Amino acid sequence: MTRPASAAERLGHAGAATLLVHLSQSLLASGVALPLGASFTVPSFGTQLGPLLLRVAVYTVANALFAPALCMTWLYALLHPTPLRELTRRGFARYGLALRVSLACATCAGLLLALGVGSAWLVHRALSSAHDARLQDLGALAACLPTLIGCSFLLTIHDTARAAVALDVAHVRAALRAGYLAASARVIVERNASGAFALALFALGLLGPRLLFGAGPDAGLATLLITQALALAMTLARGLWLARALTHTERVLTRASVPRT
Amino acid sequence: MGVGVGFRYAAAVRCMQPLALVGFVLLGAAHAHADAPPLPVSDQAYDLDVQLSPDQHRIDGSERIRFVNHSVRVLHELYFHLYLNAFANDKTVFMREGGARLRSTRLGARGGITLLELRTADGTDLLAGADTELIAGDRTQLRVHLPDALAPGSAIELHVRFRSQLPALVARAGFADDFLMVAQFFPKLARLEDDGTWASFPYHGLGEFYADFADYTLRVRVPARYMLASGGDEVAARSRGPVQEHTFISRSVLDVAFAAYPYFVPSSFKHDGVDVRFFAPRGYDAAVLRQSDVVRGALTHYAHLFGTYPYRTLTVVLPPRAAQGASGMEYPALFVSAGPWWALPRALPDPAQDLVAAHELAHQWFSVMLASHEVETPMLDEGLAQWAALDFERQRYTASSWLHALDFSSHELFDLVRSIYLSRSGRAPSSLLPAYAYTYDDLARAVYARPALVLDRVEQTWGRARLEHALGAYARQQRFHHPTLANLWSAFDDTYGASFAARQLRPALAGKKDALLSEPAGPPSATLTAQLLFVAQALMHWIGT
Ligand SMILES: [Zn+2]
Repeated sequence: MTRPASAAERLGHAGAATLLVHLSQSLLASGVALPLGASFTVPSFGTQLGPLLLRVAVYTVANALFAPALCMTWLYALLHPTPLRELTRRGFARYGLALRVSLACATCAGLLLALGVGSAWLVHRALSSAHDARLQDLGALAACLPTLIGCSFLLTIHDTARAAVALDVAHVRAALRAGYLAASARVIVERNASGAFALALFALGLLGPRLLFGAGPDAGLATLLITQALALAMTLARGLWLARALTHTERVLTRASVPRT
Repeated sequence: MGVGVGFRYAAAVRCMQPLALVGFVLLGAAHAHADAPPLPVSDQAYDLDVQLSPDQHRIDGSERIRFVNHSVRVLHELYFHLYLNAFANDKTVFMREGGARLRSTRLGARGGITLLELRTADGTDLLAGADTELIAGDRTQLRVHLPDALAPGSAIELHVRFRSQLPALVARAGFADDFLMVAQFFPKLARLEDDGTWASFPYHGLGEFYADFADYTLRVRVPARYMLASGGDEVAARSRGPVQEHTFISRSVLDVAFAAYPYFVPSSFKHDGVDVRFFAPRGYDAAVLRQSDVVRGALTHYAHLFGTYPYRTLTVVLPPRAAQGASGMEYPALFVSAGPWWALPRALPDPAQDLVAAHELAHQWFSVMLASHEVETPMLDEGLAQWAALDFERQRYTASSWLHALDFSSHELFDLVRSIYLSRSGRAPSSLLPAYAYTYDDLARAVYARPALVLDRVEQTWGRARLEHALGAYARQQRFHHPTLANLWSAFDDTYGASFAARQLRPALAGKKDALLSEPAGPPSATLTAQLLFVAQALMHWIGT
């Protein structure tokens, strides 16, 4: 039996799919950003805000619907070096299963959020006699903490369960169980560290170019280069995490008896 | 100083009885800010004695009014404003003009003023023949007929007893939980113009106020657990069992108001000779710190531009969250600010904390001291206060090292307002209309935004020094003088040359072609578009994989 590939190796042989993911997301993003940017000239700012917001909503929903297929394609690519055509075929073949995994996680997240909102509301009410808005708000925020922790757990399971689908687990419940088993505390921390890293890159992209070049007219190209490099880095960081999610899930699947096709 | 004004002060001094004169002089000694020009002598005085029953939201009060006919005409009648009656029912002018709807609220518990007694010093009842409903359905104005004509320069003393019920907070005055904003709570004379006409008007849905300067003594009895925040000097506070009696004295002011709340956390500091006192709810330390900074900076900034702040004290009230209806309102030596309990670090811009405080403080000049007609020419108070606030924040933000590093160029604050202003389809109406002629949206654009933008463009076109000179001259010369638009025009003409106002300023403010605002559409900013693309990519990335 050969040694399982490292996350970096997996990302290396999934170069084409990673690029596909990155470009398709960027294409969708430019459909939103370019008209928005054009509208930001002083005399017309906001005049077409309604249609623009609608555009953002349509693109976001389209992206969310397209996501399971794209993510499965990417996971297959990270699993085995395979021609892109075959990858996309397999990705779309598992669309239904990946979508159901997402829906199951979203349902749990919804319940968790309802629980969080409910407990926050109760705490807010209970603290109203203190006549201290800060205490009330911070108390309500603290009441949301279990929900936040639960959601970070769910985010991890969402990825590891999809990894299980890529590893040929054929049923939603089995995939979720595998995802659950793979989401150890260490793996959750790893998932959230990867998310935090992406957030840091995002903040760097917002502030970095301004700090370096100011907002002058010449800063456009430099800003574009830097932000695009950072956007690519975000995609790579995500790819690296998905590769690790595959490794973690694979390990669980070899130990536990989860039915596969 | 105009002829009318000179006459008014001469008449006032001539008619004063010796005792009153001593009182006024003492008040003056107690009240003038050390570095400010002396306060003018008022020819009116209100002595208010009220008991606040917070649980019933009720005020039982008596008042002694000393009034001098400072006009050139013999008076046969007096006009009073009973503005709490705006909240009496849905038929009042305030409600019909959408006073509650415009503020996205509804009239809950109703309010009003009941006059129990109104008589002259010799006991003549003025209430019996009074006209109580000058506009059908609206009892915010009252006209009483004098038993004897009041000659120019003559004084009259009136004794009033009243009971006021505070409404649930809709606008400016009222209660929310334990917080009470006690404003417009007593019968008050309308302003008498120098030509002898009464500038009386109902409480409008969108308009504010207009009044004569007067000296006020306000004695309030309130359950001891309540703290009071009022403009003016607190000269006495004594306990009478479970009740605390506070006495405040204000000189040469347009109005008095106070906030009462058991959970205020007071704090104070001195800046440029002014005793600044903050009254904020528990947990608002960050907001108080941030707004204290605004007040320090803006007191100095406005004093430099418009002349020294005239009063010795300044009180800032941050209302609790439930009482937002009271926020964003100015009274003499007092303003009710707004903002959440949390605030950003000093190095970063935080308009949610800064702009309302800077705007309301600017009103201490444009409305409290300059005392223009806020209903007929709201531009003179709101427009100028808005320019002053944006101008102050621009300087403050530009001076911040962080924002400097981020290349937050000095005009971005005005650019933001300009973008929002120009983004709305349809031209805003003239900025020179009365407040009741606007919708809420139009008021924001025409009365707040456009004047600020026009003045900014005047600064960019003709330079900072000239704008400072024109506005400074207007503010200093018109201190306590109830200026009109004509006074503003002439201040600009004096600085920029004859007919500048007629050729440039007035058409721009009237919205004719938005003369000083139009700007060719530039190409989209490449930097901004690159950053927007990045934000959209991040969004798609987080949702899409
Ligand atoms: Zn204002």
